[in-house]
Amino acid sequence: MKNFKTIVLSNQEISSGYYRMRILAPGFGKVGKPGQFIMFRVQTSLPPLLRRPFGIFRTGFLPADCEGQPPKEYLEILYKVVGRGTTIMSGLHEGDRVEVLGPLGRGFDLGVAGNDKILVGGGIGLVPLYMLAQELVKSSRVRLLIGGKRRDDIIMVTEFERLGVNTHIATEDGSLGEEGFVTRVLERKLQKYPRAEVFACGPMPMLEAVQRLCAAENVPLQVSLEALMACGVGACLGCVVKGAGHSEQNPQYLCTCKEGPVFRAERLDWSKLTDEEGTCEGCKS
Amino acid sequence: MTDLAMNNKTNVKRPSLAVNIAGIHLKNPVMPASGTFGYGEEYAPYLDLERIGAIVTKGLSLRPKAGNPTPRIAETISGMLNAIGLQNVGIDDFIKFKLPFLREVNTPVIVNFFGNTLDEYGEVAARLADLPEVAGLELNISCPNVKQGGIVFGTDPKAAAEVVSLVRSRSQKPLIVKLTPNVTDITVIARAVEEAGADILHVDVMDGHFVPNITIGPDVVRAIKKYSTLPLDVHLMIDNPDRYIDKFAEAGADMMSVHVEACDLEKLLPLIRKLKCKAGAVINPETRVEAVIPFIEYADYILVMTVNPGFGGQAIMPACLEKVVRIRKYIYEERKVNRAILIEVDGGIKTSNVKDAVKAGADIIVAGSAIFGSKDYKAAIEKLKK
Repeated sequence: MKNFKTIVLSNQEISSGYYRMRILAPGFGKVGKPGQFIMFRVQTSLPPLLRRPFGIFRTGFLPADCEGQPPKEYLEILYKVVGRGTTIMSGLHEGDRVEVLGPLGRGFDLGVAGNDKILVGGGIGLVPLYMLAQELVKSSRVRLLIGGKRRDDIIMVTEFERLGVNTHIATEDGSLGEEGFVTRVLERKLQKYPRAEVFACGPMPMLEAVQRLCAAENVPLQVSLEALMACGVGACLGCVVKGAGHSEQNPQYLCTCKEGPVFRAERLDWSKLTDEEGTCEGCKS
Repeated sequence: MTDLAMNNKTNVKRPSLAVNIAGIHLKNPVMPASGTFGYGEEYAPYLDLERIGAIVTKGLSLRPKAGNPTPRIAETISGMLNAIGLQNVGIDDFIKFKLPFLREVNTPVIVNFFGNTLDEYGEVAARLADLPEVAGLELNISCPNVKQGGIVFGTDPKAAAEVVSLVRSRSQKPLIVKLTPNVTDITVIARAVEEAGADILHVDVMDGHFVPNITIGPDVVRAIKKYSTLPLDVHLMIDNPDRYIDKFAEAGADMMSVHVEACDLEKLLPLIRKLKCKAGAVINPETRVEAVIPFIEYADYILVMTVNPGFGGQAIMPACLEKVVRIRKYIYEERKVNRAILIEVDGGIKTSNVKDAVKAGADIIVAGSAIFGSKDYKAAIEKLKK
């Protein structure tokens, strides 16, 4: 799949500050893999110049407009309004012209069929886990642990439940589900299912905590990282993270866009993954 | 596509965009800037690499380089800033892993490279010298984002010549030298003329609207102020100077002059005085002297332009000196305020005509080419002062 110009099919606010956008994308379902992302040009004019990276939430079909027409294939992204780009996006309407580059990057490895699968999503980090769950439920029991600051940050729970995924919610203020960090739920689940495989996406502090827990229990972990990106295809080297064994003499920088965004946890240098304060939801602006 | 179909029907020949640069044949003159295009393979899924004129690689060094810590990019309005820091796989891995892919692409490959030392430059050039798939070399002596990004070589004429001749001796390939624009340091020149005996530093601020040229803004004025103790005379050749006088005052201007053609002097001159700057009124050659006379009362100095502002190196328009005489006469005979009002003359003043300007009544002489066009600033200033 290449860069293509297309239109917005719908764009709705699904929770306070969170939006779901459907974009016309014929043929996208065949090529998009769980965990991959798109670079999205938020409007045809400038600014902003840079495309924004968004995880693919899912793909699907809408009924045709009239008889004799093929059904309309779409891809869906979810986003939280945090900056200039997402503010412009939140104002887009059906029929608006946009540009999509993708699918891009390396997605999730589906792991060993039959093993318990635990998905951990923090806030908007839940996005790349949906298509993953769609695949995993075919051969494994899947549990989703969702964390957020408050109830507004917990989105799309019913969509996962419809797939047959067992969901657990934790909010920091206790306004939905149990009170506290989602990693506390994970700690319990790992005790109960020691042969599980874990897949996580969310803010960096959450990922670091998940990594510590999984490493301690010797449980395989794949993480999907977020980063500020410019090209999305591995050319500009603007979105690198440090790989395992990185040092000044032996640089092991990995491109989040091309070698990721999904990494097996052991490929990364968790002591100092990035030099900044940690990537965060805000970076996906 | 319809254009193309029509062309075929009517047998109109499509124009050739082919160019030849230093022996490299390009299908068209479009090539990516080094660093924006990886090693070419990154864009292969999205773009037919044979459609562009040439592929220019990321900068390569003798050994692999880690690059800068993150964050490395920041978005600006309709653009971005980056400081990747020359991360690259090193010349050996490039030849082993990246070049075989490029060999299959029917587009010339230009390899950008840099070194920490002269020897490294030579070594990389030598390793690329005999590879038929490399069409040309781009010598990077300009990267500002790392200390040893070659900019050391790019800002010193001797070092630049040395590295170019070394690379030339190691390789017969067409050689592009990528220069840095960061070569002149205005603060060094400001100090040099101060030491050579100048009394005031006169800075021309042009905006590309009021005059057909663009120069500097408040940041550069601030930089000069840091390095010089001389009074700074800022000449605003800009539209709407009222919007900027605060900024230049804050940047360290001691004198600020604005054009009678650009603003309401009656309002602006007192404002400039309020900012604790000497306020100047400027008059262009084509403007009649009567236009400025009503405002002399508000000014600390009158700047008479003896060339059309915008560019240096013009010849003086002697008729303008008559304005100096008229203004001088007004100041002596009719002025109502009790303070010194000086006359400054700017444009085409040289050793040969400086006497005329002084005789006409000029108190301050602005000299550009007469000083900066000479090798010895000190001698030039002494000559003018005589």
